[in-house]
Amino acid sequence: MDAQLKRGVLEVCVLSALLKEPSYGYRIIKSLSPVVKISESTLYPILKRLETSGYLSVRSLEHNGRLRKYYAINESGKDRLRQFIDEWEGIADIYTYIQNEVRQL
Amino acid sequence: MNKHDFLNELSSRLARLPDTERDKAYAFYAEIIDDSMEDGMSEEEAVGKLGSLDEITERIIAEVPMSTIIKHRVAGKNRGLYMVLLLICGFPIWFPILISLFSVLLTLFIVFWIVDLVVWVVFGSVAAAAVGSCIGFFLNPEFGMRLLLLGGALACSGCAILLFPASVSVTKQFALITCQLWMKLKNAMLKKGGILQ
Repeated sequence: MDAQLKRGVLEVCVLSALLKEPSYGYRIIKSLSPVVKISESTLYPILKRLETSGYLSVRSLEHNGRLRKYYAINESGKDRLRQFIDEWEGIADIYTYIQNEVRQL
Repeated sequence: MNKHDFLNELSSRLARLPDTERDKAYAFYAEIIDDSMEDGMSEEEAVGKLGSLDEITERIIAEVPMSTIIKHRVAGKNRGLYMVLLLICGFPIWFPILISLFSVLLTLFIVFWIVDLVVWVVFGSVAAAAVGSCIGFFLNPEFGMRLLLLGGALACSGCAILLFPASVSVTKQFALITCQLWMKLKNAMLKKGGILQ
């Protein structure tokens, strides 16, 4: 997949993984693993970018005597997801069209 | 490699980054290793699946903005009075050198992209010539001229078709090289003994 495209899609993937409840690095990778494999070294910059863009808030909570960072999606993060859905509705139509044309070959 | 070695190595590779950036990355990887081990992995496994340190450090550095690095490198130094004096007195010397270095870099960069522009201009003119000769072919009353124009149109379209993928790949390559140079510049800023030391 095109690197730029993949980068954008992964960001949105990570955001959606936080919709149900705030989560932490290891669990984000695990919960996304059936859909897409994200490595730790990929997740780190994504979380950083999402935080800088103001889509999520970060909180350190204690767990087993150490600190764990929990990432929670906020309103503008949710807006970003809605915007993504809107953008991709158009692309989905194009995709279906191409798919149909290719099938008819 | 165990957790301790991994985190130490990561820390030393990021030693030139601002403390906050380094601590964030450190905490993130420490947490991931702890969580993996809590999930039943052995320490070695948990560290092993993180991949190569080269890739990890490169991705971390790629994400730190150039401005942060420069700010850190300039402000991070504890310059004594002597250094400050030297900086002020040396201004007539280092400032022109800095400006000229910057100009040379900028010029190289512009030259770089002008080459790319030229490639596209050549493509554009050949394509335009093809269209022009086509129009001429239909409008010119003289048979000989029409034949000549037809030949011209065919030759030009052929060239244009060949030139298009070439131009695209030149642009792509240049964009790639620009990105790589940017990364190299970043790394150079972070290195010991770099220009800002």
